[in-house]
Amino acid sequence: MAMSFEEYCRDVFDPKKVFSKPEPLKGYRFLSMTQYILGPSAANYLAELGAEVIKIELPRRGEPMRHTTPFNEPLLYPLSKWLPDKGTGLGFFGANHNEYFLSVDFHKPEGQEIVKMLAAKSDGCVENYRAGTFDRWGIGYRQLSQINPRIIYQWLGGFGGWGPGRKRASYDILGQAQGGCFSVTGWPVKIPGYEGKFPIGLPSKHTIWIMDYWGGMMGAFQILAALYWRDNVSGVGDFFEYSQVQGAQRHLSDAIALYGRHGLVQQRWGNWDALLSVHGIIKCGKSSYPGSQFPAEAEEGFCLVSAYTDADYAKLMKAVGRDDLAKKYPTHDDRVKAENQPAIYEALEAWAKDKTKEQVEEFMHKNGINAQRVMNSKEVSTSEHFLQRGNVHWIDDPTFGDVFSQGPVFMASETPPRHKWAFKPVGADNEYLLSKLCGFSKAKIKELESQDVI
Amino acid sequence: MSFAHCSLMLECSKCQVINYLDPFTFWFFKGKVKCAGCDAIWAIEIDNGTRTSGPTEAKPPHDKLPGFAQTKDYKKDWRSSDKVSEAPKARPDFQGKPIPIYKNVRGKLVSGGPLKPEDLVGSRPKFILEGRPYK
Repeated sequence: MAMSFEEYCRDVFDPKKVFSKPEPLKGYRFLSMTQYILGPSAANYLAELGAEVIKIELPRRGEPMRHTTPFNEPLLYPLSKWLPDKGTGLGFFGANHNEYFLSVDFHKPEGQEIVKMLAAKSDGCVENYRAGTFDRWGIGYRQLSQINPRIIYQWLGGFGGWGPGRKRASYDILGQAQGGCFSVTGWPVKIPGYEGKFPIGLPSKHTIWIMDYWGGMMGAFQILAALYWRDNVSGVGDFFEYSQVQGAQRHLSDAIALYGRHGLVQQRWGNWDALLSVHGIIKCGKSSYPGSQFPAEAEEGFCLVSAYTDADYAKLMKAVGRDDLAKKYPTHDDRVKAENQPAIYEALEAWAKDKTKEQVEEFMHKNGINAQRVMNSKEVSTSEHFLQRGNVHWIDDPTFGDVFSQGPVFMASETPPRHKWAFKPVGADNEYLLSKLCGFSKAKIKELESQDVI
Repeated sequence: MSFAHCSLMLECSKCQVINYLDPFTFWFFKGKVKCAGCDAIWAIEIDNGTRTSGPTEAKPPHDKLPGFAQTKDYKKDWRSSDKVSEAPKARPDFQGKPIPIYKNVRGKLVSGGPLKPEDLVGSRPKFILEGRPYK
């Protein structure tokens, strides 16, 4: 073959060719009656693959995520045609691409009728209000499946509609807490002999909404399975319940099995690794951007160093001038012991004290050691690797102009996901959707608007 | 039971202002709420997001303020801390203070600042649609 594998991949995954290729979910229609990130992201992933996703929000102000991040500081205008002086916060960005925006007041009978009309013509819906809320309003799965037996109804939320936690709500952070994630993320209770040298005793949360975005992906995954089952086997829809706290506990890797086998309770081990050594993040002594106004730049940098095989570890210790530690802990069993790891990391950080994270990374690469500096959001945004592959990209958005966004996370040679627009103001597609799918006249739409139904 | 009698939206029967009882505070609640519009006090009970009793007029003091309140035509709302409970706010000291922008970091048009009704075509900013700088 004349073409190298790299050239082949560059060609078939070229982000510039995405819009000339078909969309795998084109022809499917989903309603997204969602808020915040967990539910919206599930629908977003379907929209990236070509499904027609109709986001339904409460009239005028829309769903809370538009107002959540940054708190009360909206940054893209208008929020809606009714409120042009208000805007949408950038937290809305990652979870609402390519969607059509309809405003409907779910509380009103006329609004509920609109939802039913749309559900009759849709393949499914995604919803993440508190469990049972839509059922109470007469637009839950039990009611919508009477109208459309083929409907796939994906509910996502905190604890689910049954079980001891059924009355509780959840956010990403609560999901991580209940799911056990915080108990194994953060700093150990104590490191004997190293008191005061390393941070101790604190659990740590993920600042990013990892359980929301992961839950959304699981929701989309379940929907794809249901589409296959409906269209190839059963002919009928499905009702899914995705509990965020359950999703979080799925991340506990071996901790659950470990408890089941030995009754052991896993502890935190900071930026190091309980099973591998050296395999952790070290602090470098110098800032890469001294004097920057941004604390995340002004701080000293950090670098991941991974050298846990005997050969790599010996190479690492020789390179940093600590042959003595290579001889002292020659086997992995020696250096992975909890009481021995601190001495090794302490030595690495002492060596890195007069270096930036870039200098540490470069040094490690030159010496054949696996390393990666810890990158901040600006470095990610300007990374050639991400930009070339379209993982972050500028969108020429028809509403908001030239905006920067996360791109789709995977690539496909034949049916790639894509971003057509970032999102739209609340109710931006009211006329288009209500005339196309409900057959409403202009006068009827105006009347509904005057009654605050839409 | 109709929606008006079970929801988290408390419409004051004296001044018709809608008081939004935010789910985080009021999902399970038994006590008194002060109307942001006229300061009337209403006793209500909410269980698992459904109002189970009230509103019945009560005497001060109130237990909680609504999360947000506005008139039915959306033209007036209340934001002061004596009328509604304070929402989490941005911290300019470490988050920075956003500056309205109509051009982005690479000099291209972006709708990052407040607009007026006449700036819109439907829901879209006219200056983006026309590709002209915002004035």
